[in-house]
Amino acid sequence: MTIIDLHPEDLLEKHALGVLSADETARLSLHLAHCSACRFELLVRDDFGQELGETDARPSVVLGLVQQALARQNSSSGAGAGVEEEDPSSSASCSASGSLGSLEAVEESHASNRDLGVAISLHDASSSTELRRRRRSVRAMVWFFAAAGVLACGVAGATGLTQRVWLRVVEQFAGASGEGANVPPLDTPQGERAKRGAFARVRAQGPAEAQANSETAPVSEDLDTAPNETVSAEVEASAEPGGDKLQHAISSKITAPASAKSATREPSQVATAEALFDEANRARRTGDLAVALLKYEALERAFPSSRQARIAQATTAKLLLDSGDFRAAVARFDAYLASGAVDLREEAMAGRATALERLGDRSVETQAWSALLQAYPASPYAEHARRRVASLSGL
Amino acid sequence: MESAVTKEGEHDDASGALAALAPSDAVALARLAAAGDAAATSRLVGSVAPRVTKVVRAILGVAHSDVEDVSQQALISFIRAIGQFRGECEPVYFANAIAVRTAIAARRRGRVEMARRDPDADADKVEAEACSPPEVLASAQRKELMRQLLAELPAEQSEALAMRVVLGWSLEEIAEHSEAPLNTIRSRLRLAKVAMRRAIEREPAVAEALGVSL
Repeated sequence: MTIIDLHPEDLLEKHALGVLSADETARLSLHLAHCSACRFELLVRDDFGQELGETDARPSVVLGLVQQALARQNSSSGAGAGVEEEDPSSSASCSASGSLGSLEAVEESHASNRDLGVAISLHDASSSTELRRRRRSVRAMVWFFAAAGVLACGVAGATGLTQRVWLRVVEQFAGASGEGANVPPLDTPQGERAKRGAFARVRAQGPAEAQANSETAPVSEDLDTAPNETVSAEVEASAEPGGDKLQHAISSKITAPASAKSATREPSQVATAEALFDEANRARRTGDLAVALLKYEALERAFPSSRQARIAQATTAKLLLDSGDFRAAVARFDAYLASGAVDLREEAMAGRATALERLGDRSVETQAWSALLQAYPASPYAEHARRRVASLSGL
Repeated sequence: MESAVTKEGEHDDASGALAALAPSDAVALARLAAAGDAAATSRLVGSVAPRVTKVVRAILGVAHSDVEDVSQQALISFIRAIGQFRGECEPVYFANAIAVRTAIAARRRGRVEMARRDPDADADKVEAEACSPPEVLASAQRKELMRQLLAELPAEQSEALAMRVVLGWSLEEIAEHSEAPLNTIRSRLRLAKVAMRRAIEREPAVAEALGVSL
């Protein structure tokens, strides 16, 4: 065990509560200067603290279904806490119902929520206390890291480390002090899952028909009110058979090649590629896969070297896989992997192998899973990959 | 539900006690639930459900398709375990511990299935990467790294780390809810941090992007 394996948990705890003394602050700073794990812990604790400190999620469906389970149990056994008797298959059926999220369940859960007002307000009170504690912790953290940064710079200088990365840590925390508490939550995907029928239709109809049909879809209204209408219109036109000229016109507006890093691109380019990507994702989430597909493809054509285009390529590949068009999915995954993009490389390799699995192309599938295992031995897909390779090798 | 129970003439005593309960006495509510009072159980579940859902979502990730199912499993486990509730803390803490265990178990079970079943997850993750401010992106990446770590660690270490990092609990609180000695919790956290450092060192570029230089 080395010195950095001895983590000052008590000091970290006091830091979280904002009750460190000056001496303790210095000791903790010294440890943090050497320990990436503790620095990471402090950062991620704050990340989760902010997430959990946000307004409580509305578990209407979940709550409704559990209440239903309770009601069912009560009506059968007459005992309130009799769910102890419930067998696992009952909870499994609840899970299945949860996925369906029936209207009755939602309505019942809303009624239950009204009945449960007193207890919920109790919970809110305890949540508020925790939130205040978290906020105090964030404020303390800013000051603490400022001190840690100064100390760390000295340590880094003495040990030959660069000061650059340390200053970044300090700057990040300085930024977090002003905005951290109000950082908008990441978008939560609540859209419907892929509608295979719609997806199959767009592929059967071709882009022009699909585009015409999509004009009545809800997402079109969203897009009409989106800030960059021009881009939307241009891209939609470019998706038509005769849209190549317009696509060229869009491309010709870009005077410099798009870089992989947003920070190095022209602001207008960033806005356009990102806006397209955003629109495509919005369409996908609302279940309008026809529009989503067109927009992803339009993005790839309009900004072929952008990072978003590469991601769009992998996303359409996954949509194709989900829709059952395995050959097209393999082709798209191949194109993505050949591009050298890294964002979704692991997922693309797994997706390609899955598509090959569905196609029944055993020799190529074995190669695909083996390649994944070689590149990402600790991948979440590794267990499945090993099983498949073993299974296919035994044939 | 309360009125239905009363109509059936069951648990009249307990329902009366529930009606007389001071609003702030969540522990007493839990005790009534533990004693088999249906209305109290219903109220208790309602009181802890929002928090349980958030804890499950924090551990599984916002894009995980099983958040609702796992939250439901956690609540059912909570109801099953309420008989063991000793009243030494607020019920929501008890529920949080169960939510952590259930979510970690689900995350382990579903490491492959999660990504294979949810076609939205990757694009949503990358959309966040592509469109979010750098600090939001870094935060999302850190949380995802932590989730991966929780799925890889041995169960006891994973649970201790989640209670520490996700719930922000003290060592004593973790020891109490894990029913393990304090030094055992220290040891679990120490081992978890060894793995954490390895995970960070595995990807130096990611570590730098996360704001955690090596």
